Amino acid sequence: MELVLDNIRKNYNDKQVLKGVDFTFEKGKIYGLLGRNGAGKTSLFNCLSGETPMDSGGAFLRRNEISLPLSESEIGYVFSLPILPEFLTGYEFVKFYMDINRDKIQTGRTIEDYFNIISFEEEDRHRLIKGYSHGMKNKIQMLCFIITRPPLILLDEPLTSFDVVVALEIKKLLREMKQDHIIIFSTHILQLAADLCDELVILNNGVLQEIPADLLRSPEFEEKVISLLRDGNGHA
Amino acid sequence: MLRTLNTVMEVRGVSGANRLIYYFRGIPVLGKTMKDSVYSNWALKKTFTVIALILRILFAFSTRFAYLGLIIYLPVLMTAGDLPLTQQYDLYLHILVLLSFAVSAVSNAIILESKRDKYICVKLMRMPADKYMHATLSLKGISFFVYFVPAMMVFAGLFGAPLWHGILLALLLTLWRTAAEALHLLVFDRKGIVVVKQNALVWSVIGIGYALAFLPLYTGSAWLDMDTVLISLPAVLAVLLPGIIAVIYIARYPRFRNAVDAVTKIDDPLLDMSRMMKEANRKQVETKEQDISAEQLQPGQFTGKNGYAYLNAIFFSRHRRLLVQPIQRRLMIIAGLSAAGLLLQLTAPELFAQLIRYLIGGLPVFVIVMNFTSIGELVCKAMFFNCDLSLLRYGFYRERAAILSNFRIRLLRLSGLNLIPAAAICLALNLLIFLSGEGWSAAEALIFSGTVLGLSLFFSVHHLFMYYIFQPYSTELNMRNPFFTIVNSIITGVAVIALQFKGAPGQFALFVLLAAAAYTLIALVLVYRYSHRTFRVK
Repeated sequence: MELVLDNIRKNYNDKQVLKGVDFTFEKGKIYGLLGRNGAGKTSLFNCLSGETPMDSGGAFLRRNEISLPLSESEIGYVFSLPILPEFLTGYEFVKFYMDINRDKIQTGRTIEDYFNIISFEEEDRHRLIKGYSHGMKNKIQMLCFIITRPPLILLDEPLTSFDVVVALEIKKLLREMKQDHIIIFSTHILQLAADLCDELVILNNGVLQEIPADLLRSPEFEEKVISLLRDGNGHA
Repeated sequence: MLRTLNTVMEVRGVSGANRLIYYFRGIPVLGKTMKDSVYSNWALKKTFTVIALILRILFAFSTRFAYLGLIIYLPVLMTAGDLPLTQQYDLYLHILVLLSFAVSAVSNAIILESKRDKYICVKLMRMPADKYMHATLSLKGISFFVYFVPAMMVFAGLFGAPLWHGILLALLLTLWRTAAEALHLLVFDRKGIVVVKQNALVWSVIGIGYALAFLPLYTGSAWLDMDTVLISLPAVLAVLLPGIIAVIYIARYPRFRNAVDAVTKIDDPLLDMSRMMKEANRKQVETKEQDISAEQLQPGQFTGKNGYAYLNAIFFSRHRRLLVQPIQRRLMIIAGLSAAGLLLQLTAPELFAQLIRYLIGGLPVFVIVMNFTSIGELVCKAMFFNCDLSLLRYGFYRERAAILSNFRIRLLRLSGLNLIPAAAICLALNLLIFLSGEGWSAAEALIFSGTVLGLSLFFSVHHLFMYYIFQPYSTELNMRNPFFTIVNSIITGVAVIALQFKGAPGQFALFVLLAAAAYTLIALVLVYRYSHRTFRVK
C-alpha cells in the first residue's frame, strides 16, 4: 500500500503555501515531516484529511496497482490542538466513536481494553473532557485511530504535549502499529524525528523533499537538516 | 510632548486604517478586490489614516450637537415649548449642569479608563506613562473644548442668549471636568479605588442624576434662575480656580505608571471588545460543569442508545439548564399574561371583551409571536459551540449519512421543545376566549390551535435548516454568513406582510399551513441534498 501525492497546490489569498507537492509514502514506515513554522505542515495535513479543499492535485491510495482517491474515512488525524466535544466524558466519546465506526472495528475488544492500551486512569474515564489536560485529550485522539485503524495516520505535533513516560508508551505503540499503516508525523523537534521515524521528509518552499536514509544516522545529520531548512534548495 | 502626541496619533491612525481595511475586505464581493498587500501599502494607508481622522473629527462635532440637541434641547422644547425663552433656557441649563457637570464627572472620567491604545503605547511600546498621559490628556482637554464650542453657541443662540454664553459654558465645562479628572486621580492615589469601575456607584449617580435633571420638565420650571447663577463672577471663579489647580496637580503628578498599570491588566475584558463579545457569546451557551452531577457521568445513564441518538441524548440532557430555562421563561410569560387576562375579565369585562375580539381577529400576529417563542436559534448556537465545532473536525462526522441522521434526531428534539410553549399558548388562548363568552366554535378553536402549532413546527424547521445550510457561526459565535441574514430578513418580511392579511381566520390558517408545509418540504430537500457540503466550520 502506498500513499501518492500528486501535485498538490494550495494558496491562501495571494500566498502560495503548497506549490505542487509530489511524494509517495509507503506502508510500514513512520515518516517524519519536518518544516519550519508556517511552512505548511498543517495545511498539507488539512488538505489530505479533507478539512480544507486543495486548489489542485490529489492524493491517492494505491493497493496492488489499483489507485483510488483517498477518502476521509481512511484517515486518522490527530490535531496539534486536541479538539473534542467537551460535554462528553472520555468514556462516552469513545463509546460514541465505536458506535459510529462499528463496521471498521476488530471485534473482541471492549472500551475498557482500549483505555488500558493508552494507560488512561480509571477515574478519569468518567469525567467531562472539559476538565482534561492537553495530554489526556491527545491520548483520546490517539485512541480514535487505535480503534478504527485507518490506513493513513496523520499526527500533527503530537508527542510534544506528553510527559516522558507517556511519550515513550506512545512511541512504542506507533512502532507496533506501523507495519499495517502509513504514519506521517509532523514536528519541528529534530531529535524526536530522528529517534522515532524511519524516513524524514522536509517541507520547504511549498514542496516536499526526502532526506536520504543514510543521512538520518550520520553524525552531521543535524547540520545538514538545518541547512536544508534554511535555504531550501541545498542538495544533501 | 508634541513628539509623544505625534507617536500616539500615529499608532491610533495606523490601527484605525488597518481596521478600516479589515472591515472593507470583509464585505462580500467588493472586499475581494483588495489584496493582502494593502496592509503594507504605506501611501494608501496614509490616505486611510487621513480619512479616518477626518471622519473622527466630523463625528466628534456632530455627537456634541446630537447630545445637546436630542438629550437636552428636544425634551425642553417638547415639554416646555410654550414657556418664554428665558425660562426654557433655565431648564436647558439645569439639565446641562446635572448631566454634563454632575453625572459625567463621575461616569465619564478618562484618566483611569481602560483603553486599548493606553495598553499598546505604555505596556507594549514602553512609552513613559507620564508622557503618554500628559500628551493624551492635553489633547483631550483642548479637543473637548473645541468640539463643544459650536454646539454650545448654537443652542444658546436658539434660546436667545448671547453667543459668548456658549463659549463660556464650553470653557467652564472643560475646566470643571478637568477638576473632576484630578479628583478621580486623587481618590485613586489615596485609596487605590478606580471610581469609574465602581459600577454600583456609577449607575446610582447616573440614575439619580438623570431623574433630577429631567424632574423640572414635569414641575414646569427650573428651581433657580440658572443663567444668572451660572454666568456670574462667583460661579466662574468657583470653577476656574479648581480647574487651574487640577491642571497643575495632573501636570505634576508623579505616579502615572501605577495609574496606567491599574487599568491595563492584560485580562481586562474592556481592553478587548471582540474578546469580551466572544466570551459573552460563549457564556450564553457554554456547558457548565456544575450543572452535571457525578452520577450523571457514570456509564449506564444512556443505555440502549447508540451512535447519534446516544450523542444527542447526552447533549440535550447535559444542556438541560440551557434549554429548559428559556422554555420555563416562556411558560411563565404565557401564564402571567393569561392571569392578567382573567383579572381583566373580573375587573373590566368591557375592555376584556374588546381585547378578545382583537385576539380572535389577530391570528396573523402569531407569525411573529411564534418566531419569538421558538428557541431554535439558541439551541443551534449551543449545538454549534459545544458539539459541532469540535466534532466537525472529524471526517466521519462530516459524512452525508451522519449529518442527516443527526439532523433528523435534532429536528425531532427541537420540535418537541418548541411544541411545549406552543401548546401552552393554544390552551391559554382557547380558555380565555371561551371564558369571554364570545362565539367560539370547535372548528374555530381547531383552526386557531392548528395554526399556532403549525407555526411552531415551521420555525423549528426554519432555524435548524438555516443552521445546516448556511452554518452562520464562526468560531467566535458571531454571524458570518450574509445569506443567513438575507433569508432571515425575507422570513421576517413575509411575517410582516402576513400582518396585513384581512381575510377569515380559516383562510389565513390554510395559507399559513400550506406555506409552512411547502417551506418545510423545500428545506428538508435542500438539507438532504446539500448539507454535507454546507455544514462545515468556517
